[in-house]
Amino acid sequence: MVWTDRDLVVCRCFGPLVDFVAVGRPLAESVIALIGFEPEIAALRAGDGGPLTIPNVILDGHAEPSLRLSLDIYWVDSAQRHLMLVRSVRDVSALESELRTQMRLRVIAEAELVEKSEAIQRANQELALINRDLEEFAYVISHDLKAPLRALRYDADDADRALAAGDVATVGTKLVAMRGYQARMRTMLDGLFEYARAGRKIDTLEEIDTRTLVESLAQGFAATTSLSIEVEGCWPRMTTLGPPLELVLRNLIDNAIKHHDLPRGRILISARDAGDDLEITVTDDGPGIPDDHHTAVFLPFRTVNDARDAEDSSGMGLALVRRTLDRIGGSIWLRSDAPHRRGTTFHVRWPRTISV
Amino acid sequence: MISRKLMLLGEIGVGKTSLIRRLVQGRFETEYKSTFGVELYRVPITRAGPNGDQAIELIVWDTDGNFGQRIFRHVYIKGASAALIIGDLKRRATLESMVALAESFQDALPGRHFSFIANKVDLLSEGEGAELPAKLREARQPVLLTSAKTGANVEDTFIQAASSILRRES
Repeated sequence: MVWTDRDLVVCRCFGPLVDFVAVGRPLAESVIALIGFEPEIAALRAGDGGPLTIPNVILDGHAEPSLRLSLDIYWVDSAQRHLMLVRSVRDVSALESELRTQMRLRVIAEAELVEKSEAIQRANQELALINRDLEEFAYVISHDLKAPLRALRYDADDADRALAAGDVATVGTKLVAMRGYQARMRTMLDGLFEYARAGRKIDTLEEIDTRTLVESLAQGFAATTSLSIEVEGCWPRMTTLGPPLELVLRNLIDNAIKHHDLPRGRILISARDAGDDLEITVTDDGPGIPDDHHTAVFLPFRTVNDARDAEDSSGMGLALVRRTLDRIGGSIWLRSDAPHRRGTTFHVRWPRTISV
Repeated sequence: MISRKLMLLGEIGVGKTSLIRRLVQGRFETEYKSTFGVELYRVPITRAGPNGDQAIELIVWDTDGNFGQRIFRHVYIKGASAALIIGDLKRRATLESMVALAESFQDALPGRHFSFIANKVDLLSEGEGAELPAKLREARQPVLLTSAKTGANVEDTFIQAASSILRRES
């Protein structure tokens, strides 16, 4: 036992004094576990006398062998002294210590196993995405790029025949058409390259004011169209991937403008908190997308046929958006009831937390 | 010299004991031995300040990782001036739990300093970056990379904690 005065200086009273404290010295000098507990010890004097118990503590982790103690501190009103009772706690036996260590190693090993399975799961998901990419690329190369290539060959044959017949005017026409196909193929290849890059490029997380971003995009597009573009809803500041978010918004707005069939119309860009995600919607009052195109529009080089598609659209915008969202764990879908009703709404789930 | 209490918090096996033993004993023990209850260490630190040297003795409370969040309801946490919240770079779950430990520490002891420590940086292969969970990156608090095995950043970590305590109290 140890007696101290009100200031926690060790003093004599009665009973045996433990050997690691010195009379006349502050108790906390040798019992460092008391440092930080001064308010609790002072409160003992005003309360019911305690005790304040600090269990199972090794006062000097450096010392060998270590001394494991439990401390009970009281205020003894009649003596106007603090009393600290020191109990030596049985240190864990070698066998118990080994058991505890083995149990903890098991906990660690199990946690590592869970992490490794999760890593394998992530790798499998990545592999599935890569396989899907390969299939898409194979499809694009075998179908979409073949068409202009075939047209190029036919026109070259026609030009040859026209040249042999001395029909210079037809040769000129065919050459113009061939340049057009060449340009189309270049656009498609550039689009494919950008598409491949969208899945591989590593961006860094940054603080983004999403409202500023969407409003600046809307202003930029407003200068190029007679359609009205409005922004509403709750656009937060968040730590996210800036360029991919801009890519998604830019392509959705661009898509809404490009496929609108009237000189006047409205595009509404909105956001709302959806738990772990930010839900972004881009709604237009254009012609809409028939049900059988709802999935296909997200594939490379797929457009809903209209006059403007052939001129302006590479058919990669929505594919790029979907691919970008796939890579960050987001998603996209659309709602449209064409030809019964006009208008399309694209819904995007943008995760608030993105693992780079 | 003033003495202040510094808690080592973190999941089982993240290297709390190894870090403090590396600091006070200058060595790394390869044999894993679990902490039972709490073990205390004295770490005297002198810091050069604008008004001359300032000395502080850190009383380091190396706690049993088994406590988890229960540590904040235990008598051990009372009167702590700061905490080092430690995770294992090779066990993502231990890094993720650091944020919750920091939040609970701030709730229990508002305004007290804490540092995030990602330990075992020696286990990363050459050129491999430390991959921290998004939650931890978004916590707006630097994460110090340490190695109890090589000693990398260990002393600096404790000096920074001591400096923060002195700054807060000056």
